[in-house]
Amino acid sequence: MTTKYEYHSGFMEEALEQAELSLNNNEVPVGCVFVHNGKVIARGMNDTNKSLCGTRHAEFLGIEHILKTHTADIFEEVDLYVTVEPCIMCASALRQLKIKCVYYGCANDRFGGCGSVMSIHSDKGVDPTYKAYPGFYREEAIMLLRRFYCQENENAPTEKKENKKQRELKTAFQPFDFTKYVHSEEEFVEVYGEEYLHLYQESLKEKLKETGKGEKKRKTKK
Amino acid sequence: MSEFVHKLKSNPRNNVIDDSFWQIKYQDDHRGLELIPLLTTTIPANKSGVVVKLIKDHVDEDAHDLGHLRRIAKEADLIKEGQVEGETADSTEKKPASEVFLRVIIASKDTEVDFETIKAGITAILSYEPPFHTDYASKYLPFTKQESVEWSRNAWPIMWRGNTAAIQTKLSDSELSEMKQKLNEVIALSKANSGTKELPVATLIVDPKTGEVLSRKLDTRHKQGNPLNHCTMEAIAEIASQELARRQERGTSKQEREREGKQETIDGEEDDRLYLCLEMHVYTTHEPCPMCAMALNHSRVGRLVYVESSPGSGGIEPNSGGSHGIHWNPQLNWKYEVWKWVGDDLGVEKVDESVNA
Ligand SMILES: [Zn+2]
Ligand SMILES: [Zn+2]
Repeated sequence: MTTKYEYHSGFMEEALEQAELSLNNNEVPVGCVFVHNGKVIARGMNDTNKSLCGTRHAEFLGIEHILKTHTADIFEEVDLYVTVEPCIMCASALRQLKIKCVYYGCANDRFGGCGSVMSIHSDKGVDPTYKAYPGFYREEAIMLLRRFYCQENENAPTEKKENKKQRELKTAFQPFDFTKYVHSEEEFVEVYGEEYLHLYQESLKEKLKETGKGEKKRKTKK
Repeated sequence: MSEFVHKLKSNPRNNVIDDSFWQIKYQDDHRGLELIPLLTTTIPANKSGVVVKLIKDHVDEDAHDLGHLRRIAKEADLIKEGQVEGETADSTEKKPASEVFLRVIIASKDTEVDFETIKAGITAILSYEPPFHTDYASKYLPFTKQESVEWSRNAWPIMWRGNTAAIQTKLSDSELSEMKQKLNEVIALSKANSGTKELPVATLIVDPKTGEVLSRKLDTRHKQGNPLNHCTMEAIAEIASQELARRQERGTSKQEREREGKQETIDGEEDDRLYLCLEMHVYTTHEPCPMCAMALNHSRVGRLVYVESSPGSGGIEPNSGGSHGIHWNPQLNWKYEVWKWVGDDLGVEKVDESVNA
């Protein structure tokens, strides 16, 4: 029997394939799949460079594909799997479509609209809120982005190249703070399954350590 | 106090030029006096250095930003009602430092810190237990000097060094008339949807150097069967496809050059390839939703001008939707100016609050 985590990860593997394809097309590697009744009904990959349009994100390509054959109310029964947290623009688009749920790989610290920079999915607004869960194949999603930025740098003219240290492909990862995105153990188990509860608990422990550090710092100052 | 707060909140808008354009900047711009409780104590002036150091050692980070507050206030300054100004201030100056008393902020009461330890520490320094008080301070930096004076009279004194959010962007007379003319143009365009099931919403994208309108889009999301085809998104897409067509005509698309194995030329144009709306001016009838507001950010526009607020769904104004202020968020790597028309009624049709413009 597949666990909940494996079930979601299966779709994320398909989203990663899309991201890989966009990397091969010299696009920022972000890919997604839209799932309806357990079946992939659309795929999308980032297309901003080729289209010269800064809004051609993977999500939009998938959405447009679906709307060719369905009316927009189908999104109420559709889940999105996307390798990188939807940006503020896409997070709002998904909310306007009343998407059922969003699962993503890594956080988007620069533009993330599902908990990182803003929480468009759950803030005050006119459309119903939706849930967004990170951490499915997070490291693979990050590695694709790193490969892209290395490759960009390789292609840049010499005077624009960053120094060697920055160019090297990093393979280490910061621990991920699940507690920023999932608000209780119950909810975590509900989505990721009991077997993975330790991931959430590690985040909690890490968070406690951080606050502990603050305490200690204060004490040693005395 | 509540009457006072009410008066401040109903103050006319700051940053209005020519009684017609209101520049929307920080989310905090129009916040009135909101109070937070502080723990303070009264100590002799000659002990203030040691006490302030002890407080600093214990309070790493306050729960609130207290940067706009005086850390130390003269007791005399805090007694206001029914007192002749300057009277006590004069008399304190003649006294030796041990007899002048100061009131010091320990921390805002929302701060997670061991207040009892700090109280004990201060008591040890003074060799007696000083009085501890709850005082109230403004949570935000005031917008104007006048507000600062007024708020300081009603709460903990504020240190006024100006507020960068209050610096106005200048608009020349010719810019103002250009802006008004373009607004009339976009409103006229929006009227084409009157009486149809489409929204009376339209967008123009203008090259600010020439004043030329590069894209004119009327909202047709219903006809197109895509609830995301807002006119602002369509206008952005049109700018991109115009440029794509131009490049393909010249046979200089990036893909072709790569296929031919040519070295990519860096002529500035290629650098801007993702930012085709760079510094362009956008005119819309209604405050855009977060999707469109962020699309404008991704596209690096320079200015947005609109008429009607979208209190339910807007992504710009401090009191709209989720108060996102997407055009001016310090965490995002691009900002654009926003001006809302606040002059005479220009006849823009209102849309339902539940609509995303
Ligand atoms: Zn996006
Ligand atoms: Zn919109």
